[in-house]
Amino acid sequence: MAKKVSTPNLLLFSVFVVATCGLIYELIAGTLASYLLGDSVTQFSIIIGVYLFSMGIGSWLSKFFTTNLLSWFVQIEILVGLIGGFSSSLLFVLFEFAASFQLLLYGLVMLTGILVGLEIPLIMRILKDEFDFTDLVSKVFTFDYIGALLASLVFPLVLVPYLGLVKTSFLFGILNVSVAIALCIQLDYLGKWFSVLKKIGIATLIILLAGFVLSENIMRFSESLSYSEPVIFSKSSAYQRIVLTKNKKELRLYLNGNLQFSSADEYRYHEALVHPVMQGLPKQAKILVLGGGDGLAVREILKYPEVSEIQLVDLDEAVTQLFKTNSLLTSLNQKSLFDPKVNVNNVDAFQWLKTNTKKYDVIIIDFPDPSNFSVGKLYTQTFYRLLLHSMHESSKVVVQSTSPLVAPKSFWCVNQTMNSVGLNTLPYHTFVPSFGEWGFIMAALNPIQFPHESISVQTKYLTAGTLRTMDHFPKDMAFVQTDVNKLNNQMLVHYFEKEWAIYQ
Amino acid sequence: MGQLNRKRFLQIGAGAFVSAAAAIWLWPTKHIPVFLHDSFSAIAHLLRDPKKLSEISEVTKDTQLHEIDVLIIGGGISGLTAARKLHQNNIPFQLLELGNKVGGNAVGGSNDISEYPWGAHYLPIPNLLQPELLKFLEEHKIIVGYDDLGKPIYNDYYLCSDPEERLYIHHYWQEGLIPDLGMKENDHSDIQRFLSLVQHYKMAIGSDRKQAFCIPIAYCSKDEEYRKLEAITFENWLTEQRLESTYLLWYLNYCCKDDYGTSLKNTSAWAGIHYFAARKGVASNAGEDDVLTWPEGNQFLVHALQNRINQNIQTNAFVSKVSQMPDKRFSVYYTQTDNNTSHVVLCKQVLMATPQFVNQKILSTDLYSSKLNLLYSPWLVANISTMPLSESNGVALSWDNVIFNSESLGYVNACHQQLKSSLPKLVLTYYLPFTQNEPKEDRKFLFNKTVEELKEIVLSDLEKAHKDIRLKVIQIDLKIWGHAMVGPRPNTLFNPNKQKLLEAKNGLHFAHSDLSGISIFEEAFYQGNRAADEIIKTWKA
Repeated sequence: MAKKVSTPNLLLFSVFVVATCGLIYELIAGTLASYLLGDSVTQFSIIIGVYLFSMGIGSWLSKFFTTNLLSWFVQIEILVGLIGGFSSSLLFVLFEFAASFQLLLYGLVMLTGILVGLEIPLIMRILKDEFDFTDLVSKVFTFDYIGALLASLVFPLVLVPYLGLVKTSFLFGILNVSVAIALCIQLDYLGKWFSVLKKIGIATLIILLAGFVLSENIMRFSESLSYSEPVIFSKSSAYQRIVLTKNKKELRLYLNGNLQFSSADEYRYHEALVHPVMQGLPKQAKILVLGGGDGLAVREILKYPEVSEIQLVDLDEAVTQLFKTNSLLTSLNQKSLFDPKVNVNNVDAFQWLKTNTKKYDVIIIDFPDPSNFSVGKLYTQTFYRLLLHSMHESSKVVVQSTSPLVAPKSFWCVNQTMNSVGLNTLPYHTFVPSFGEWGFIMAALNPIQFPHESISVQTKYLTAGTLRTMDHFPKDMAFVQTDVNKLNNQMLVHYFEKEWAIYQ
Repeated sequence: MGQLNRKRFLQIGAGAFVSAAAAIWLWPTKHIPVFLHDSFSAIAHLLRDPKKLSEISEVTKDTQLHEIDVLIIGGGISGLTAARKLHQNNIPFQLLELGNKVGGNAVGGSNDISEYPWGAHYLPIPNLLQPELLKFLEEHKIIVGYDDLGKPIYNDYYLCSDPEERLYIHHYWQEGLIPDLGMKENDHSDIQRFLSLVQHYKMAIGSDRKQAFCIPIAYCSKDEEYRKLEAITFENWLTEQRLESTYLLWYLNYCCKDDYGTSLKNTSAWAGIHYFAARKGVASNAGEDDVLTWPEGNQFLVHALQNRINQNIQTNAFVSKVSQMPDKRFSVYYTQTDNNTSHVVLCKQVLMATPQFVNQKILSTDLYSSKLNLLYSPWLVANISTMPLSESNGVALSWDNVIFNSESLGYVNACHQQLKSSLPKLVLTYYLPFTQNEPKEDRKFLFNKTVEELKEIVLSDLEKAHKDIRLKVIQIDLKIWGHAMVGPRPNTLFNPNKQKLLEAKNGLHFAHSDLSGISIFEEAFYQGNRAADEIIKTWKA
């Protein structure tokens, strides 16, 4: 029998693997805790403390293992691999049930710690007859600490950046179990029990391998838990995370976790956004849409036969592409983005306006809410001044401008800012159940009238009666004095952050 | 269980460990390319060698002879400003510049991500004492009009966008640069007291009815009450005022390094207060402390200054000697470094828009004997091309990003003024003035470092605030400024010897911001115009 590696050496190697894996599990728990709970110093020190203490418990418990040490060792190794391998996915998925998350986290760390803590004393007792005691202690601990060093270097430099947490924990689970299987093969001659253990080991290995391969899906599943409805599509584009959810009632689009529309009531929003400003169109009307890559505003615009041309400018090609290809979405926007009148440009609206020389009859602005500085720029005085270059004397503009009820300062700040470049404004609002009370600002160079009579095209929501209430602002949404939003003060982002803070 | 097996196992184990370790060092810490950009130090160092200098200034049969009425030496802001004015007055002139492009401290560079500054990168909103400057800004649409009260309206695209400044302190990015986080009661009260003291100086008027502190320095009051602050260091003045908060002292030291390249110890109290009390910008659409900035920094202003006078500019011209001939004309010897030809220019008037440490070497002793004892600190500037860095809690990436207790001034986001919503790559400009030792020693230290060592200085500093910087950086471009800026040390600003230089005689004129004593655009602009006015006066007479 020409065995390549002797059993004691394989055991020593497994010390090395156990130490590496153990520390990796600890680091994963620490990193995850600081990702999910914040305050990395506290999280890391508690995790390290709990882990070391648990290893102590493990060492103490080892005295109760008196017989079949090798078989225990293999069993523990498989168990560590299984628990450690699934630790990060388990934590990610269970985080949504946050009430007991810390308990679960520390429980998992403790369990891993105890199991790893058991292994070193066990292995020393297994090997006590193979080496002289001095030699044994030196060998076991050398491998133990080398493993620890390797783990602590590889983890931040290679594993986290290149594999991510979920894949890393599966990988080390696999490593752990592989060593256990190798031991089983080596120890086959000791009896049937080891071949049973080997089979268990291989089964575990397959589960872990599956986990490694499917880790993307696990991440997606854990993400789906933060949405109340099932996620049917998710993608990270260069600019944002796009998530689409669907239940029996509705389809919802989220960008960076913020709801963009619900199919149940988006028609309310888009009719209110589009139709008031579209009344009294000239012949051969040219329309510009900034933002609104979902094609829903375009769907409403296409109802007007006078429209000869629609220019859509949306930053994110991933969004416009999604609304051209997904059948649920194309049935919602009625394939509006394929209409020959529509021209789509995927560039930044600010940049596009700077180079544009055409004048448009109606401009519809449907940007995300000004929740950060880069979107805030698209609501500044400078932006609206630039917009004037794409307007002629009788052009009309409409801007979606957040909720006048929740964020009155933000809403009136948009109004104030548009006034400051010489636009006459006409603020109005309507109720969209999934958003709440929502506001828009219509504007033009000449004084304008809100169309109270009726809309010239088919609508699902707007009636003459609704129109008459839209430009009336009740007391709790009444005008407030605000600063003008400029590039060098970004007042709107500051207002918006404050007013929406309680909803975050 | 033979010996051989164990040995072999250990060998394999050791081998695996070594290769794993090697992989760790080689793989993720991917090599970040770094380039050192020449700031013509090699040629400029010839100035240190008087023998070499006189050798290259010898006239041979190959020397080409030129004649011109006015010659400007130096294409920094002061030289270009003077050139602009001479051009406006139709006076024939030539400008000689050592580097391969003009701009001096205000030069910028660019790569496929963005333009970026190599030095000066903003202009504070000017006060109304500088009509020539306002006129210049108007010519180039930086001022777009005036409101009913006569306040300038600045171009929105050039006013620094919000968020402007943030400070990384106690692992958190706070808004603004004055420390606020984690301070004790006495820190807050010291900072308040300091701010109200400088507010007093800001408003102060001297017995000669002039403002105690303003820009340009030449317009400041000569009242002894304020001038006496020139005699002591800023540090001593702060001690006298019992301002002791370590947070305040860090901040003020940062400010001195930022504007003057000197520490609290080496800055005069007058200059230290000037930083806070002299800026009285007036604008219709901006605050008095707001600034104008561009991705390429003040290179934008350089372009504006040079755009009509390009044909009068000669770059790569290394001037080695300026002397006066019996007929009172000047002979200026220079080497064209790109084709290695030597030239002599004969001219009626010379404007030295060069720093004094250069004048000292190239002007013959009968023309320049002043001992001004000016010291210039060296700077390291790094332009870091990177993917967006991971951010800790607090304020989002701002224009100016400073790390508390770092030797550096932090970094400026060169892409800040871009209007695009999301940028996949950025250029961050990192500034590190050397103020610890005497400038000479610091210069030696800097020039002895390898490029890799310099890169490490930059990365290990920024790593404090951005842990993942080594994974995100694409490329680093470095520049060493051996003599970045003059330091306003005590008793240098109003040195009477300087006054003598400023009084023009026999067609020799001086214009450089170091004659004002602080290295800012406004002072260079002032000096350039002042000298040009002298030339115009002589010309007309």
